[in-house]
Amino acid sequence: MDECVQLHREGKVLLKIVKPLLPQIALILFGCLILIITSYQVEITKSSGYSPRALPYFAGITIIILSLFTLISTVLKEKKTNRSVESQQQEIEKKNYFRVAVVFIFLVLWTVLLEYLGFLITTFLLVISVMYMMGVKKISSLVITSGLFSIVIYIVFKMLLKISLPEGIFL
Amino acid sequence: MGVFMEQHIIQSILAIFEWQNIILMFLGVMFGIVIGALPGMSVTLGVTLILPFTFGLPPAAGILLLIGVYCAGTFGGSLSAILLKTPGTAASAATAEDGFAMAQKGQANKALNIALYASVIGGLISGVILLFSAPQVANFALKFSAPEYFMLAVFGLTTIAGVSGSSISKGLVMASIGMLVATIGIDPIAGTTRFYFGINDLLRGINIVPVLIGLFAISEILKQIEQQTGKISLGAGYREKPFKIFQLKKHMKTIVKSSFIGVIVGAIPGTGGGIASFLSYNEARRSSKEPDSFGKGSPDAVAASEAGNNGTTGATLIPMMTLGIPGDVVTAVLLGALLIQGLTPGPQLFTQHGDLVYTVMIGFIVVNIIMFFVGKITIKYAKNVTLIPVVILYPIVLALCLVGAYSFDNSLYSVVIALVFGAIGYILPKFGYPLTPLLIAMILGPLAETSLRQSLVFSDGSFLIFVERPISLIFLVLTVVMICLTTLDKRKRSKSMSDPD
Repeated sequence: MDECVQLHREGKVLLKIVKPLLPQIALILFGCLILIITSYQVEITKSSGYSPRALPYFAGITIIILSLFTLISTVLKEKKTNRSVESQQQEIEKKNYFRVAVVFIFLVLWTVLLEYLGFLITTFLLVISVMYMMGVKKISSLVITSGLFSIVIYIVFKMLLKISLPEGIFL
Repeated sequence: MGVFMEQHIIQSILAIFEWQNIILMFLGVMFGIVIGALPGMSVTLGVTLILPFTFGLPPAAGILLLIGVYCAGTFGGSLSAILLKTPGTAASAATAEDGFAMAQKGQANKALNIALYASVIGGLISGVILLFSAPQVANFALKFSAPEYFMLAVFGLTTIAGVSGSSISKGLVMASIGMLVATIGIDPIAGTTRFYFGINDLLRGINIVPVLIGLFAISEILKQIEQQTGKISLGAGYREKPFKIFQLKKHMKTIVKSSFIGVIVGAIPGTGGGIASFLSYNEARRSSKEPDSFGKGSPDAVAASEAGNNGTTGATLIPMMTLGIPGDVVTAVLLGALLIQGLTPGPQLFTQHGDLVYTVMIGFIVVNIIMFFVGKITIKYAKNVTLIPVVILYPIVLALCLVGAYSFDNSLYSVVIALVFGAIGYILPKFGYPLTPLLIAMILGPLAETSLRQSLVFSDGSFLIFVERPISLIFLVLTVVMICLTTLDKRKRSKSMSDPD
């Protein structure tokens, strides 16, 4: 049992050390991926002296080297200062991250549904749902704001700017 | 060139005063003031949001609209800085301290008026310098060919160090990502595909406009939603006390000096309004007879900061229009707007589309005059401007971003790009990765690559070509100097940061 707690604690400590390094690790992997993909995806032509692969290779290697540099300097810094994390603050942050994630999903849904439902309906729904996520619960203000906005934008784009927006199956 | 210039000037004045253009400039200015004044909404966000509306407009009209937003947004930041002590833009951060202190002393009206006069004068000086120096720079740049362009692009890329924030290495990582993004599609010289993955849409490459919308608008709103604190607080109330123009006389020296500081700072890519306003503020305090009043509600401080940041507005257009090098995100948006219209910024723009260039430059001056009148009216109602609830604002702005990305080329492909970059722009800065380097590299990367390859074809693969040609050698030297200066500066700063500990 004690061992279990010990292990758990060690795991937590490990996580604390690894967490700030994750972006660097991800970027190093990304850089490696770029190097590999480049050799498959970028064709070389014999005619030009300078290969189309040069810039992608250069960028990939730069990303790897500089991320390694940041990684090492973060490790050195982390050793010096041991930060304590307040759990309460984390709780609030988590809730807000959840809200951002949901809003982002709404944006993706707008993109998916746009060509089926048309601009007016999807935009109307998007503005309502984002407003709702931000804490507006009054139905009248939800509907009025969202409705007015969608219609005004539709008119401005369609009539004034002559840019067509998808009309979907209902309109 | 002289006769040419006069002809262009007359033509462009006629174009500016077409009623559609006047209306668009008014709209741009009004929108800019409102966006600038809203806490959390930046000038960058303002120009990015308005960009899709320019797609359907003629080139000159679209650019004039954007310039209206740009200038007025830079001024608008001072409204919330003075009334709420929350600067609407980074460029107004220096205004907040003294402006708010003045407002609390019951001098809000005076502070707002000084901010307006200083902004307008700064903008006008900047505009006049733009009008007279840009053609000279362009004329000089006409001599450039591939090797010069390569070194110029490299020099432009060194500005990344300036916009990288605390970590240059993180800035360079973002720049590398930006270059990679720019390589997607068809190789400009060999004509082969790069990172195509069998997706036909990717053959078109990644356009800068949806990227801008994602990186600087969608991500910004997501950040605001995350930090949402409820309602924006009410500002200090102020009674109407008419402002007399003679009250300005005392501050004229500061305003003019700060405007010129702004112009110089603005002409250097990679700087911007924020730096200019702090530099002007410091200079005004240094030369002030009562430096102790700074920070406690000194009208001179407001004047310096606002003249400084608006002084950059015209000057930032010089490298953008004459060389195609954007110094910051706002000029990158303007550059994007020109590209959409099929116009490539650079010296050729001045010879091939002279009337358009002059329309933009003279329009810039007219915009500042319009800003004066709109600003005068806004000051009276400024308190209401900052009261738009965020719960309505953010959803609407998000929807506008999506519509904007869609209308760019009438395809969902652009919306997907905007969303991807929205996510990138939201997540990466959380780990200290700055966004502006990505954007600048995305614009300059292709210029650097293409011109490097062309130069190497000229020189049969010898890199000596960059040293043998005088102009490219000058840029090479400038690049080295710039790198040395920024590293020295960073060292100094990190030393002074660590010393108090």
